[in-house]
Amino acid sequence: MDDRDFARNRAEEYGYDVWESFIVPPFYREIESLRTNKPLIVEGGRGSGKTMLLRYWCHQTQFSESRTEIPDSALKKIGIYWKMDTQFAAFMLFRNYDEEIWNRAFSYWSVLTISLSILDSLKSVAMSHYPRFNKENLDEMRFSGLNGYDENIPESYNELIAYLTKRRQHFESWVNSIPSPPTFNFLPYEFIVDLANCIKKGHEVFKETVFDIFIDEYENLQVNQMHIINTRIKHSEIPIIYNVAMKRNALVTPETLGNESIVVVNDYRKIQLDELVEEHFKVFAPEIFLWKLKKDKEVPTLVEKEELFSYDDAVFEKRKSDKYRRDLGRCMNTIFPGMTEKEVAALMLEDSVFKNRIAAELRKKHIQDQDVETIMNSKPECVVVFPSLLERASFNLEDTLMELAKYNEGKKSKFDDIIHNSLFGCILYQYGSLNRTCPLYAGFGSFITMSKDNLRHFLELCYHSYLRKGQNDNVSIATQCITVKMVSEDMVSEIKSLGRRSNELYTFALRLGSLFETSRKKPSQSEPEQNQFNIVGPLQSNDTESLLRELVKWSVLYESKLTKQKADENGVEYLFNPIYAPYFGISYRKKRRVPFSLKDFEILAFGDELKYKSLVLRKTKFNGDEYSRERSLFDL
Amino acid sequence: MVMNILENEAFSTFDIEMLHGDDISKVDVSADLKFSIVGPTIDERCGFCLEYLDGKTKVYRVEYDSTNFVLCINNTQIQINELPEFIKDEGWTNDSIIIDATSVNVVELLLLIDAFEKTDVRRFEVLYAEPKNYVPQGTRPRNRRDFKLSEKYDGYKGVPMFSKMTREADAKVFCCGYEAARIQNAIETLPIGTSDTYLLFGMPPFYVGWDMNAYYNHINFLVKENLHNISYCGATNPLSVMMRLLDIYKTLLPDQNMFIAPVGTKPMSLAVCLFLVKMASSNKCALLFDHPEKSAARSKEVGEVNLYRIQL
Repeated sequence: MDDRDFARNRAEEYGYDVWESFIVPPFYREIESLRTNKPLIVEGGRGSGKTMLLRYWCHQTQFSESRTEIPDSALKKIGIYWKMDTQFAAFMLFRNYDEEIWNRAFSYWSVLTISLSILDSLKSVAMSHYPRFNKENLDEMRFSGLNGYDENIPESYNELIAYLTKRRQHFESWVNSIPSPPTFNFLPYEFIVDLANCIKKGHEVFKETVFDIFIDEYENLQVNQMHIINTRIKHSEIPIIYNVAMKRNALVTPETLGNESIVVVNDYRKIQLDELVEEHFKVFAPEIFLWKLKKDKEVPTLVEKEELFSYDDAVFEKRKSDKYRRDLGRCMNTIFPGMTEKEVAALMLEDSVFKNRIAAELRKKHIQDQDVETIMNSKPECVVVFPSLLERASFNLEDTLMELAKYNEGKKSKFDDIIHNSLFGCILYQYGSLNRTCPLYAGFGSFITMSKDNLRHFLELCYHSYLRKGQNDNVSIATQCITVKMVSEDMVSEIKSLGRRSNELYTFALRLGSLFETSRKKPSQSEPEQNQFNIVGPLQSNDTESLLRELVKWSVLYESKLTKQKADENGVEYLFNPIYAPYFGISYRKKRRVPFSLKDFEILAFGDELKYKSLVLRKTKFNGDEYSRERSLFDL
Repeated sequence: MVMNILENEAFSTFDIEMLHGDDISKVDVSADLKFSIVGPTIDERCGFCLEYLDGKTKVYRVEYDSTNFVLCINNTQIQINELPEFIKDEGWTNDSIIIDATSVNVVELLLLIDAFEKTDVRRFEVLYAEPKNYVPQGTRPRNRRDFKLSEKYDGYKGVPMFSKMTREADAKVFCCGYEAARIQNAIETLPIGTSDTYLLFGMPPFYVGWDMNAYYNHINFLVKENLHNISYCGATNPLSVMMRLLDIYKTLLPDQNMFIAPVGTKPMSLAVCLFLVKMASSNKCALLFDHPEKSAARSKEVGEVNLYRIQL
């Protein structure tokens, strides 16, 4: 198996038939219960498995050549996947025609595309292992109920496809040309319904079939086109049901072409994939990786195909059990071992570079040699946090040494809290100062936290680490650290491809990450692990609001309700996507937030370099010299 | 004549002469020019070209509005189908026009050349001043190949007369510059897949070493998407790009179309425009473009100057 195949982690890379690749999510029952004959809005961020789920439901997968037994029930819902050609759709506006004509044109285009896809689905059924409908049956089918639209509409399957394809070509030329009145009639929406009814009557196996149309990447449509799709959702009824998939925060308009809007429950049901994935992430994410390991690399792991591809209630129960989750965790920890903070502190003190550096920091603050020796001989975690205490205004050497002695003796001490609050930050500070990759980024647990609810990010961390393990049974911490940094750098770079405002998102991410990175460089570590912010006061600018929406939509930021809210604070906080943490050498744990005024945020987003630099100095209370101290070329 | 090189009937009258120098005085800009077409002045080299052309010629400032699908010429809105008429009215004729491709953007270049093809303007000149430096995004060493060339994009959106519906089976050609994300964005948002994808890098580049910036910014993406069809055409040599495009065109299956995304250097984009215009009658070639809003001061100082004498 090619390493590149092993590392595939986007649904698009698997094609339309995902029968051999689709692992039934542990939460599939929850999704299935929502899949009635009411339209669905599937909402999920990048890497939530949205496209994979849609492709699984569609005819290419359900009637896959690889599916050897296909029950009659598979024909009750035939899924049609439509990822719209948005560059062509966006083109259907203005140019001497009013919106009404373009709306009809867009609707006509959807009629042609969906009709051709429905006809294509019949071929999938005919060519599949389904026993009651074959190629001969398809050739015998007659589509005689459509000639009311055009008396030239042919009745046979192949001719009908040729007819619709030709119409689509004419339409393409018309849209592309300098608009002149169309020389053809637009087939109305009802054409699809009549086509579906023809099929239902055409062969008994389709008698109860409902065609489920799934429109992916809905958010990339023009607003007037969203209104058309919303209208289809509102008026969906058997045998054609419209469903859409989009990123979070992407339903920008609930309006239809009429006076009504689409309303959840009344008109559609919503699947919030992010929430479901997040709830089951610790099981589902390792399952996918371990299955790929087993299938592509022939490594025995504890996951079994029969279970991952099963719809049995008992299997779902097992997959949701604590024991199974613990077993998976154990298995993943064996492959991707990590270290606790205290273990990392101990490791640091085995390294003379860290040891000498910490001792030098103590001596620089005029600690006597005897005390330095006492400190350096203390438990490693105390040694690592000690230099940070020297920077704090409240520091008193005598009291601190007393507390240190208590901690070393295993008694209750102020060091318990200090270590709890600052050790992680102090370790990052020390490693960052030496431009070394920190072992805290390694390990299955860290991978889970860094990828948050993003399956693609988790798999990227696992695949690339695994592919570098060499002959070892597991992936060394050093290898993981290098890989994590590389993946993180890729993900930061990928921001540049996230939609129309990608460059603004990228600049914002670089600036925000650099601000947190500068905070991390503070020797006192009094407020370590900053990686969140909130905006104090109301959001008054449309620009700010729309950029924030875009940042959340593309998961550069994760929005959540503010945990401790003061009177003048906006009710939400924003977590910087933890996958970017290794790139900036900051913490991936959700810990401390920085309050920004609206003006601060605007400087981050839109301000010039000078204003940004002064914001960083103000927020981090650094002086200019410290701030301008950059890393060397070797930090690449 | 380059007809022997571009072996296709569509290019039977086509010719291009390419002149290159370290200063505008060395490229022999025709003395008979009457009209120059420029775009927005966003950096030093655009200003440099404008200064050279202003006074010698009547200057037209052209911009395409991708929201409304119209052209703005000297602040007057013109429908695309009205452009040939505009050219006639303004008296633009053979050997009287120079387009400053330094500032004129890709779509404008395409629509102008197309309008020339439809009128009696068969010969014109195109000027292009290379940048001396691009400005990296941020000052860190790790960002040294990271250039902010665009502020935002209007998104991939068709241009009248040069659009088609994309299909996965179609061939895709990307001219590569520094902005790999634009290609990645096309592949992720459009139903085009990655089969039959061709990448053209500008080699030799404007300056020794600049090709490394392009490779560095593309390499992860190329590996990830498993893209192998890579070719090299001179960054300032439209003819070599056209030859490669024609090679790809010849491999198309009967029902296969070809989408070309000019997201590389401007001379490469010029080649794409010329190719699309000349091959329009084949009804198999289309433009793929995301309409960037270019960053102000994206480059510093003026590098070498190129002049292309074109006969359609």
